[in-house]
Amino acid sequence: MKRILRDRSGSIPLLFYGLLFALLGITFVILEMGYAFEKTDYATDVIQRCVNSAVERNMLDEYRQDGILLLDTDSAEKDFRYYLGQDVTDGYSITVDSISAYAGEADGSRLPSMTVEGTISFETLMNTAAVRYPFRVRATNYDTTDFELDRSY
Amino acid sequence: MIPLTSNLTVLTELVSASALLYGGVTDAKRREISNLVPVLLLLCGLLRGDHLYRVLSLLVVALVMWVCSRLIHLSAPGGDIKLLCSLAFCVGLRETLFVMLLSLLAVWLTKRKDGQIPLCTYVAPAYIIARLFVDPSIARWTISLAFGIIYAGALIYLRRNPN
Repeated sequence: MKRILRDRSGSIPLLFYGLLFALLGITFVILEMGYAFEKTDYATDVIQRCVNSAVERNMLDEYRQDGILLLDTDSAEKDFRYYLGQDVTDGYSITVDSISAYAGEADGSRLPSMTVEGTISFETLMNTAAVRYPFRVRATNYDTTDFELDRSY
Repeated sequence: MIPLTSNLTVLTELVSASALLYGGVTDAKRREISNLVPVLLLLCGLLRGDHLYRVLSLLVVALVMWVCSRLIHLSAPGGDIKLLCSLAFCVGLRETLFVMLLSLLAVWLTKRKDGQIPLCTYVAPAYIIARLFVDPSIARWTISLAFGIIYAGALIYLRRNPN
């Protein structure tokens, strides 16, 4: 360290400089991509959690005891937007293109579900680019007492 | 992006460019970079804010230089190590890479074959051009043009009067 602080000479080997540039470039790409993947992963997790919570909270309990799964779709949509506004941290811009909530059928032929589609946007670590990542998350409510799950989804 | 909107940004731009040009001339003349150059660059970086990103950039450059020296058993001179690390702190990793790319391009254009280059001589004009890409305003063009003329004049003078 002392040697570096005292040494003022300034003629770098060209080979060293070229290799340094290449390695720094690779490091830069790894940092930027790693950060972008991490942020995308986090945002998708948060959105999935919001959809899950919205569906879970708005299941109509008065039918549940009879083994009928029905969802209050309007409230589920409202709750989803509320959770999204609360949970998503700064630095993200989330555009919700469509929310399709399905109440379900009383005979159990189709389960209640909610699907959200949209785009997550954020800046990369070194503000090189604005990443736009389309997402599609879905939450379905299953009756766990009935193990014959509908696997058509 | 740092537009030339406040006195502070104008000051840091002028100081960092002047320091690099001074370093470029002394490096071309004596193959030495004064310690004043990295110190001024570090000060400019401190004044520009966003310190976490700047420290991260400095550490990445220092670490990669260390890895590089281990890989090919060649080490960079102390002046160049300080120059690149302080440059990374001053402008961040992304712009440092761009400056390095431009300086490598300049080395290729001047067809240097001696294997060792006076780094600051190439980094100084590369830095000025890189800043133009970041913020291509008329004020910056004017400053860059002025610096370019002074730098070219100094290098031509040095070539004619090596002593």
